[in-house]
Amino acid sequence: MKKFLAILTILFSTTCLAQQITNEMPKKLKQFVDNLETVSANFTQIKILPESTKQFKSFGYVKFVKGTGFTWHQTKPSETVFTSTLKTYCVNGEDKQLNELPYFNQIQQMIDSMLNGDISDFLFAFNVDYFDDKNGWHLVATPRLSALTDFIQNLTVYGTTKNLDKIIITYADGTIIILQFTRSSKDFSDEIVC
Amino acid sequence: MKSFVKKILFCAIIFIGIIAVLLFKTPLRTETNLMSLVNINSSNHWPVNQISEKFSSIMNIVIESTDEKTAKKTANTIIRDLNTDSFDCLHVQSNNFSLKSLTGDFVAHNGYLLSDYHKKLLHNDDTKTIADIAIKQISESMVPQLFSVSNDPFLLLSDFLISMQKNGTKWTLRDGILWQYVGSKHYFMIPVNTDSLDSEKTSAQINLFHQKLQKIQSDTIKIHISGVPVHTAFMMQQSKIELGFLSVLALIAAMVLNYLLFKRLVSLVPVIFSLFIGFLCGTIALFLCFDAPHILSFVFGTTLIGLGIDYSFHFMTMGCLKKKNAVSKNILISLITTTVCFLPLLFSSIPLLQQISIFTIIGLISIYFALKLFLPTNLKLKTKDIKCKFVVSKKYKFIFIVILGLVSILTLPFVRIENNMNQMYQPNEKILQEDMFFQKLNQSEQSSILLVRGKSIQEILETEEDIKAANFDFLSVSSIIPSIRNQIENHKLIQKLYDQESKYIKRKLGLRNLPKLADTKPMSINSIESEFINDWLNKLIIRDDDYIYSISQIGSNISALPENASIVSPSDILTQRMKKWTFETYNLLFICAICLVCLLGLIYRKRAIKYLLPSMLGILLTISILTWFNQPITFFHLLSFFIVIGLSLDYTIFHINAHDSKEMRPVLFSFLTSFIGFGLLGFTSFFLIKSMGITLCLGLGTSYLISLYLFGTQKLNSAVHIRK
Repeated sequence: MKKFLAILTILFSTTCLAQQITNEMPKKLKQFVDNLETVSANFTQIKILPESTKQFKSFGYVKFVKGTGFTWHQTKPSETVFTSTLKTYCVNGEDKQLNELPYFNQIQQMIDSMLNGDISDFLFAFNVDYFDDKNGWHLVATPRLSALTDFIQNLTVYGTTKNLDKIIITYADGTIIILQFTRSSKDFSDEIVC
Repeated sequence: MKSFVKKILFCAIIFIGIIAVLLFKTPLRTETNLMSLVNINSSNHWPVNQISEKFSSIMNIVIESTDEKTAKKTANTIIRDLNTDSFDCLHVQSNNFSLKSLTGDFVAHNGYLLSDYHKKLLHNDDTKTIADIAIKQISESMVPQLFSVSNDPFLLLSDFLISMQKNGTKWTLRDGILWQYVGSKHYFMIPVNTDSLDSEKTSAQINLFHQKLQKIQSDTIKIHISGVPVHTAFMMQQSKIELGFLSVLALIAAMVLNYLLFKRLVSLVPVIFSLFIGFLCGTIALFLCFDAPHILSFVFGTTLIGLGIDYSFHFMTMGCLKKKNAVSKNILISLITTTVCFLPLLFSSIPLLQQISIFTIIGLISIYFALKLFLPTNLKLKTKDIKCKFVVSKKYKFIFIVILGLVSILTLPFVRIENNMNQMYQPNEKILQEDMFFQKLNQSEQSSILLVRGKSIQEILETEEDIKAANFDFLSVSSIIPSIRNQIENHKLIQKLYDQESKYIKRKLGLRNLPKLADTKPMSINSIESEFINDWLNKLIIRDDDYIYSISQIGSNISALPENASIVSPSDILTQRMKKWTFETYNLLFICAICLVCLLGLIYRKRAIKYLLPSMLGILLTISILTWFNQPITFFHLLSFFIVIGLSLDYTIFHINAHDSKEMRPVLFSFLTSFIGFGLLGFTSFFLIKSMGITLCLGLGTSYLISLYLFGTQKLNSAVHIRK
């Protein structure tokens, strides 16, 4: 009985903590967005393929400038520079027309809007469960639109009021991408242009 | 034969005609499309008409804004509106771009599809490069692959799909809507297919939608609409308003003139009756001879109106004249000459000319008999005498004629003949600007249309691939579905890649299972399930009774094409066809003149040329005046000359043969009715009608005046002299 009550309590408390985002951005998330201006961070990407026994790690750094875009500079195991301005995308300086992939464009647009304090696009495309954690927050987004559900199962984002800590993307084919960020005090010199 | 029997016979013929049309030709179909009239297919055995229709039935709506979100929202609102029942003639082109549906179609044939890039590497036995690129992409990319590793370990399918998407335009798909970003502005484009271009319903819906779009526009959102359907809709609306207004004016003018001539309203009855019978019989004959007569046959068959009024006036005034038989003879000669004038058109290779010929000849004969049989003989509508105040003395007449002839002939070298249909159309300034804006935005290197034909799709695909191999790559049906010949070759290369690199890629990616080439079948057009791809293929493939054709747009011309391929340009072919038509119509005018000289020679012997000169001088002067005002002469001007000859011959016959000054008045009023009616058409904005109106107005005016003052009233004048 005690066990049952304990399980019930855990379930109840979890339900209480999870907050379905409707239209207003939760406080901590808003603080994080407001604090975000120009950020440089090192990242580690772990890619897990369902057909593979290996985990693939990549390293590099990311620079984000609010209102301009970001550059994703992978240094290991091979060098690749992916830049996203608010209008275009390029890989190693070459326009790759990634906007032909609708789900990619939607995600990019949502991020742009979110960082400007508008989460309506995000909420249109995803069902979002937000959690206030001890040290920060995390949210689980499950896509609503078929263009997205075809490819993404869900994405989980962990952060604090100042930093983005981790993003876990689970793709529909079972591929998992874990992105871990460590804020860097030095400002990377990469320009965000295509 | 008794008059009563004749009447019964006449009515019976019309009745049988109506029954025959109802039995064999219902539902009645008339052709309104100008392109169908030209039928440019027959000259080169390529379905240029269909291609032209395919390309010209698309209307493009472009939403412009600096704010992407607002632009996209507006685009979605427009798409939603277009999908309602109110606009059922307008269909938004499918951009239902679901990657999942695409991947399903291609996975089923993954052993047979290769991009050109991969094919080249495999031909060079560079299997390692393909494997290394795939390993890097699969292990490092944050974005997942389009296909699972087990289905596409070497990313062959992904690369094929991406290479297929390169559509050669600046537009890319953004959430199912075509999008591009130029000069700090976002543009979303919605291509809309329209139902039959010339349908009144389609045009009404386009105009209504256009108005709706104007309301959606704001400071931040600009909406552009362009394409052939917009021109057609605007033109139809404009013509409807203009022709409606001008028709009312012409009708009022005709009624007033009729009243002024007879001072009795009852005189309108024979006119209306004769015109009704003429149009009814002409229409019956047209429908019996042609499956779908063109609407222009009725437009250029308006000779009936002029002559119908003319004959009615003469028949109505005949009762008051002393020499009734002479007038009756004049009317009969006028009928015969007009019939002979239009007869050569029947042997033309141009369907429109054949139709005009049948409509006019049958209509005129019916008008003649209707008036002769049914107009009461005791009808004595009096008219006033007409006095020709200005009579050119005999010795100056010759000088005048020579001067007019010389002036006209001297102008001939400066005549500009125009066969390009694009030059004949003067579009609305605003619509033209929108077209230019769209062309600028749509900058595409694809300028020529390549047509490939075959008895089967496979034949077409192989020809396309041969052309690409000998020249350069371009987007075509074979870019989506390679030929079986190509797919079998691909399969061998892919098998070699799997044999050589499977173990390597398994080790590098740590795969649980060794990648194996699945047992799949080659791709065929019937195996495509994706709505998006099928829509795309439908745009690129057309069929007729004998062949299947594929359409591709290419950047530059290709030399040395195989027999079953051709580069076509509908507008060039149309110009060529118009050139041929213009030449043929010139010849027909010449033949018509010879026929008339022979006929008039039989009737009037040496004086024959006098009867023909006013018409000929009228035509030459019309050409000169048009040339002085820098107006080109087109095929449609030439068509109008047949009407000028038909009507002016009638005026000349009465002017020369008049025995009584009362005979002149109906000619004057009949001329004024035609002159005002056709003259008003010169004020329309539709080139075809406008050129017809101006030509008829000038031609009839000059030939009437020449026939009256330089050739007319001889008998009257001599009678006056004798009386004196």
